[in-house]
Amino acid sequence: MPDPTELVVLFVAIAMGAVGQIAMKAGMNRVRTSTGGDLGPILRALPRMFSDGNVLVGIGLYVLSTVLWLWVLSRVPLSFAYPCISVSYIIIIVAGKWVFRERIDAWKIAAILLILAGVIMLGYSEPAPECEPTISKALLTVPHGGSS
Amino acid sequence: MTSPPLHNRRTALPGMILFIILMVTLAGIGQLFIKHGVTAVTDRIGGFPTDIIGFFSLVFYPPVFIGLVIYFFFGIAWLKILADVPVSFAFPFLAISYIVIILGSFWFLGESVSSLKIASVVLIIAGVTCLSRSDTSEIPLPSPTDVS
Repeated sequence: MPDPTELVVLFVAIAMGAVGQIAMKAGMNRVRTSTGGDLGPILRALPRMFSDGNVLVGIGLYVLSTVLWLWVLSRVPLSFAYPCISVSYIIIIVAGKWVFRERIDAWKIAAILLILAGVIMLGYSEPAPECEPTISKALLTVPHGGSS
Repeated sequence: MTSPPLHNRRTALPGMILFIILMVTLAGIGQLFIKHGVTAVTDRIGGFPTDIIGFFSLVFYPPVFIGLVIYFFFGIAWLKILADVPVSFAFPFLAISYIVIILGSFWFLGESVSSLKIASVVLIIAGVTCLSRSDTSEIPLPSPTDVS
């Protein structure tokens, strides 16, 4: 498993991305309402999108989250880091209840449990690539008990 | 019924689904590019850049830059998708990106993908699929005749 600092930065990046996603959804709901329910072609919709406060806050969080993500990727395998992003679904489900008043039903509880189990298992599936070769090399080169 | 439609009538639902699939596949490919580039740069300079010039030379390193451009366009496309369909409908399609990432990080990045890691990702995808089965009281799914 990656070291604690890497894990903390990874999950901070994921949380910022999820909160950014919620802010963008809230903003886009408002943009859509202001256009009478029809956003029209994407290029014509861009000025409206980028003048909504919630959309801008969401984009800002996304940018910060991306910088942290680059740092994480410089130290952690992608096949470990990327599936961890699924934790953001748990954040979205919980926030969906508070922000968009979506119900949490049995399917969502099942989703939370499966994702949690998957991410915890994923942690155990990832060997620590920086440490393991050093330890095994040390075991190979240092004779046990000092006898030669 | 005053509930809003599943999707914006400008885009037919099959076209929308195809668009979402294309975008999440691209998002996975973008992450592979970013990881490849970040690893190449940090290996060369011996760690993540700590100064602003180093950071920008990382961001503008072609594979990282291409990955970030893909990521940016995915972000814009995702805003459009979220405006047209509910979060709970759009999110499960992100499972495709997990498959792209796991296969790509094994074949192209040479990361270790153990059976425990694959099992973890299967659990996560199952969790994400549960989300799509959950009660989306925010917006109902269309009936098969709802194609006008």
